[in-house]
Amino acid sequence: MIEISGLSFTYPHASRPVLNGLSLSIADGEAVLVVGPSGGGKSTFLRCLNGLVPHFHGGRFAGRVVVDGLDTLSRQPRDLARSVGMVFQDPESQFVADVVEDELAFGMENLEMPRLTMRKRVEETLDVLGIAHLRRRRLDTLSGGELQRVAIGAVLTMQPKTLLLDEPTSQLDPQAAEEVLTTVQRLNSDLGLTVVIAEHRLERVVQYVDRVLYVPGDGTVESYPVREAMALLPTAPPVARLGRALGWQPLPLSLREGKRFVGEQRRDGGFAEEAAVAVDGDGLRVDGLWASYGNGDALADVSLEVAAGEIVALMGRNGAGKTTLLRSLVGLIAPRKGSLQVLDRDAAKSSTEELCRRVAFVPQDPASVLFRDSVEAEVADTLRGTGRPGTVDEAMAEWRLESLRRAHPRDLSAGERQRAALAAMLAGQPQVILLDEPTRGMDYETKELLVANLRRRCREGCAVLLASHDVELVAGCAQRVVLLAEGRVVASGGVRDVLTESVTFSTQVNKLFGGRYLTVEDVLEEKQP
Amino acid sequence: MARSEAAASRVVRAAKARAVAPPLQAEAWSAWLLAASVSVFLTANPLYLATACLVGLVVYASLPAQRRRGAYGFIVKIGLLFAVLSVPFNVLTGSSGSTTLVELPRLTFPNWLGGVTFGGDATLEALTYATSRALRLMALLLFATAFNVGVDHYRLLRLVPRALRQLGVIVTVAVLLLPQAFAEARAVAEAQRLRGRRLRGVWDASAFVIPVLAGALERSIQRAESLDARGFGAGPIETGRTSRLPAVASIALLAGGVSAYAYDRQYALPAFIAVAASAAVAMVALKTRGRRVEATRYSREPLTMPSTLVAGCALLSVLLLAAMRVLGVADIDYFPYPTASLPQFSPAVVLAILLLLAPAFRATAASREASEGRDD
Repeated sequence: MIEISGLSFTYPHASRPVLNGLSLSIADGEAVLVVGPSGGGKSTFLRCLNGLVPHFHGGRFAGRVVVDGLDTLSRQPRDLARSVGMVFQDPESQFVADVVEDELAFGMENLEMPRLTMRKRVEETLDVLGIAHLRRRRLDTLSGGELQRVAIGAVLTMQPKTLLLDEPTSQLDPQAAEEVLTTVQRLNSDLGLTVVIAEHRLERVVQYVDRVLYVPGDGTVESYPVREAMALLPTAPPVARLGRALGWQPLPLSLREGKRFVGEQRRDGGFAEEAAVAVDGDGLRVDGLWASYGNGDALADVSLEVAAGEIVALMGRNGAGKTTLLRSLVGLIAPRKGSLQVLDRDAAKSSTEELCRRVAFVPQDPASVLFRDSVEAEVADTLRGTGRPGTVDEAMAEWRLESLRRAHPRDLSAGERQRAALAAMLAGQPQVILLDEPTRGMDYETKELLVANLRRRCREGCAVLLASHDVELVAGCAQRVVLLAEGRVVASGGVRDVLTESVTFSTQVNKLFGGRYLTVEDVLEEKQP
Repeated sequence: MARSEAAASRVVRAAKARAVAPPLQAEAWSAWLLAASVSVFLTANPLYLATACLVGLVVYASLPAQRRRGAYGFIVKIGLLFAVLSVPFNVLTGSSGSTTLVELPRLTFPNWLGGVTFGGDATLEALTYATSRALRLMALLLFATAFNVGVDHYRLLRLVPRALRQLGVIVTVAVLLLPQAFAEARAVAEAQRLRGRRLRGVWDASAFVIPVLAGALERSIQRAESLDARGFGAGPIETGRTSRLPAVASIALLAGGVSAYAYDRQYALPAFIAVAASAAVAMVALKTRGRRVEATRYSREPLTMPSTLVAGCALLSVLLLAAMRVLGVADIDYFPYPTASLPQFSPAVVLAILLLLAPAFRATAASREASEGRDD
């Protein structure tokens, strides 16, 4: 049982409260989804429930939060750890031990449990999460999905009554995300754990939750029954958006529910592949590339081509070689064999600095490229270093950062930081754009902005290669897809060809209608005439 | 048939052992770092200090290349620059000594600017002294870098005495800051290249010292947050006067010992006793407080043979050096003033310093295992 009454919280040095006069309660065994734009206060809300706010972060705190009979203000987070477990966004930033088993025991050691109890609980937890086969593995050899399940296990061994998850799948590929969310759903339905989860991948969670808390960012939190929320809120999974547009009642939340409305009629929807706009200019071309990065992520005989004016999506599991390929294209990795032609240059023989005068590469973690003391300085830095044409003002307008020009990148929310990183790395007019998982943890509005931006640049003759797990993003903007597995190209072709033939990489609309349908817009456009 | 099965199971067992056993345990690395750092303060002889630098460099170079990638070399370079710069600075500001090398114009800043005198006679003594100090600085930096590359930081975190864990965040940040800073520095260098600029000289790089530290701090704090949420440091918090007494006593003894030694070298023995007593009090206090917090361990990992050997060698090295210092063997406490002489060089001292090479042997043997790590 979680009781919140009159909760207000302001971060130190912030001018306005993140949460303002909040009162609500969450019953035992409930599953609650927290949604809202990034930077709106979802993370802060979750941190209020286990005492990290205000104990860890400081700031002005008013009101009362009582979790499992404990007032969070009078208890330290570490004392609340027995009642509330929290799983963070980045699986790697929460581990202590090297080996799975030790990691699971860490929390219990802190709570001073007898060794026999620890052994018993570790066994149980390994079984509950289906990770018994991983018990002696080193954490640095696990995949993202496995890591995140271990992270959940590490809090479960303390037997909390409530599980808080702060965007637990934002760093994971679709299959791994599925593993994690299915696990969470089972913990809720089989063990009766109260679950409060912040998540962007609505299509995978809405069918399991009882209630949605919408955190719009103005300090309030609105509570809706899930079906009502999907009918009202700007973010909804494709099947619900489709239901909304076509007036399906009651609004379907899952594929299963959606199928009832579609019925047996599997139509063909004779969509042709969208052809790339023919534009003059060079793109990039990879021929028989062999390369490796670290040890897992290796490429074997990869060939592909991106023409000017084209957006090509690079898909595949974590560790399939996507990052290696992108890094090779800007000279951060020297290939072992093969040729890499980027514009008119051989990427294997050119330096990164030289290539980046006309090539923009946005690495995975946006925070890792921001080091100046204001957003505009970041952009100016790129323009000066690369000598690409363009002005700071343009970039600010492009990414809606005008009001944040002078803000320090470290003070921005995750979503704003992503925009700042995009602005900083894509400033000027690069002729080739390489993006590595740009939509991880990205909210709906920023994603729209990114898609529009890429499409515009593409029309202007830019070649875009985009590594992404985000099927809906790819369906919405790419013309071609290259699917990598174990470092090899396993499929390559038009976006409709590749995505509609795949099971794991197909969109919700395609699963619903089959044929060559990919997006909500496909279905709606066909209905109108 | 049976033989091949036995061989196969041996291979499997070996693979398992390799998958679980860390290369060298954090206890051994900590003992080594402590011993190595103390040893460079036991001598002021530039020849021995140069040997210590060499030891640091070899240990550093013996670690798996994958973990040394990028920023570590960078940090060493920055250190080298500061060390090299400190020599002319020290020579220019200290002009005592009897062997004048060059006479330079004298420049004295007015009192409100600190009243420092620059120039004057540059003496051989000042040069020798400055070189010793620079070498010591360099050796310390190399030791710290090798330690940070080699040690398993999470195991190190778990070594933190229970009683200190109540300081949760501070301890976590203290342990994790440096490795995070290395990772951060690597990211800066890469991001700059993506923006068309290679960080060439050390000067380019030094512009990023603050953002690198700020970023590293932020990430360490993130990790501290997740540890806090998992009950790191949970337990009864004691704030009675009795629990503070040992801490106060320990700090007082330490301060007394150090200041007595600094005041006059002839108090070396009482100073040494005071420092040793301080350490003893602190250890006993931590032990008893730790017992009251009641540690439980899921699995105990006993010290492995190589770890014990490395820690033993390190300890032996310090003891030998300390003994030789007391006996005054071969200019171990070389002091250039008032008139510099060629420092003596004794193989015994060098051998004692070379004992600190121990981690290099173990690290080379284990480097294959470390390269199995994932990097995406």
